[in-house]
Amino acid sequence: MKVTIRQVAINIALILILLWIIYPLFWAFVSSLKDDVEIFHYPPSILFSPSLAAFRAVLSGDWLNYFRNGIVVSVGGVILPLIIGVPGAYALARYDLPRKNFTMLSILSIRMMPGIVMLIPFFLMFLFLHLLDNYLALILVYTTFNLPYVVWIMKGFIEQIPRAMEEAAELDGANLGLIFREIVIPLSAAGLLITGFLCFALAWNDFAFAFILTNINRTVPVGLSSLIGSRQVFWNQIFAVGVINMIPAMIFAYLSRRYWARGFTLGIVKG
Amino acid sequence: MRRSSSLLILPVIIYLTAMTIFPTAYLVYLSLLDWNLLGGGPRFVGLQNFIDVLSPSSPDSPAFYNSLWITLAFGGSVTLIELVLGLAIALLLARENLIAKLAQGMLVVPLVITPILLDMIWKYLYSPLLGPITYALSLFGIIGIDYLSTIPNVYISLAIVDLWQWTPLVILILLGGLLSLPRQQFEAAELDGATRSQIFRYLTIPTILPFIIIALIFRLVDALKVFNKIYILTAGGPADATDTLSYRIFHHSLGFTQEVGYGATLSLLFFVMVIVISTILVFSFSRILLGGKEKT
Repeated sequence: MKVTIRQVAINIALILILLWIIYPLFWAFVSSLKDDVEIFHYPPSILFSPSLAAFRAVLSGDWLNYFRNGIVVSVGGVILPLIIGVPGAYALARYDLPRKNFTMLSILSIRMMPGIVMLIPFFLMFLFLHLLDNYLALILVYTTFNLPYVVWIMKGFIEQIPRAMEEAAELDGANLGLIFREIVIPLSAAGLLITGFLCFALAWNDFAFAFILTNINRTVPVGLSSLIGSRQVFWNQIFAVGVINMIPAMIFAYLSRRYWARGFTLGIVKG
Repeated sequence: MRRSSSLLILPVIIYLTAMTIFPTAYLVYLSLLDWNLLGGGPRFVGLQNFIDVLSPSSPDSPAFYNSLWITLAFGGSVTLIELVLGLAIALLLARENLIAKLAQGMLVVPLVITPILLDMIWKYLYSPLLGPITYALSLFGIIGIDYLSTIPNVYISLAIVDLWQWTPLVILILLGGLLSLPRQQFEAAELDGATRSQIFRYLTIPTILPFIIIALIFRLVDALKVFNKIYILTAGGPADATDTLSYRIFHHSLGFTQEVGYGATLSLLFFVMVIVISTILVFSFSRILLGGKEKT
């Protein structure tokens, strides 16, 4: 009997936790289906005739550009760090480099650095280089912040590949490029996927740098912030963008959920 | 082959050095200037900006110390609450149970939502005229609460958003530790008649301590940087009650006023503060961070 009461209490607590997570998301999804009149109704309605007006408003004009800009800088912010970082992670995983621990901790300290302090120097540097409102500026910035993730996470994944395979390939005369293509990349595919997704998300979600370094070529977070600046806030449009934004992220995140603690801690907590 | 292969690390080092050392040096130079981007300067003023920010007799310094205090107090408090709450929930979730599995899956959701969007969702929820929270509380006769423009409500409201967003990360990290606990030791302890609280204190906590430290480091360092929430939810207000250092830097140098010399000085001081805190944490726990923690 005592055990049962305990079980019930635990289950109630678990359900409350679930509801706590779902509550804000529920309102975002519901509100995205309201039209421009319904969204200003008080008390906020749950039962109403759903409308796709907000989605139509944000799937046209400037918003398509914002989504495209976001994709361009985020893909750039994934590919450049991977190209620079994965070979570096391999070197750290496989060779006895001088001052290896110091190098690792220094790279980690860049993850710890508050990005906002780089706002003024980056703004002025890109101003003088005539790169404001240019995709390249954002890609260079995101590469800086994403590289520590790539190096740390991929080092962990590469270390898990049995070393004997590379040694055998080396004895057979394979060069490093071949070893990379045939062994390292395929066997760390899960790591590349989670790292790539994390880097994509960091670039896609960034607000401060995109806000300062772009003008016309805005990304989605900057577009969202402009919706809140106006006199009347059309929450339904904000949440329509939000839903479009959230659904792919949530699906991918759910599928890769066991890697998230690992990703966010740069592989320090192993999955 | 070995020696040349180890050079693969060089591009990483060169890129990160170029993109951090050079801007930092530039920041030092800027901090010595009086320069308003909207007109005026640049003019070399030596250490005048540092005197303006730090000297107790300067008219600007109370706002800086206010900012410093809010940043440390907010960052420290939410980190502490998230660790305690995260541990409690992780203990609840570490079981084979359908609802627990479902909740574990849902935990990643707050982590992948665009932060600024998340802040907007909460701004809507808190909205005093339209918001669902306002309505929900009015059903219990609680009316007339202003969540974001009165003190101390604004701190609680901001903390709740931060808890919603980041407690899941703490839970996920700690779950990694809890699921790796050696089961036999627990069974042995139970057989020996150890109580639940004894097991928790002498077995659970020591085993997951490295995970707690990892969560502490990442949360504390990030909580000190809080910016998006302030920008969207409070704009530093009411008055300067939520004017954190990140927001102050942004607001003074590239926002409302564009005093980049003053902003660079604030940036530099903030940079040094966070780097000192994180370096102390990172190097004192370097064995945990470099060793990696297995979760099975």
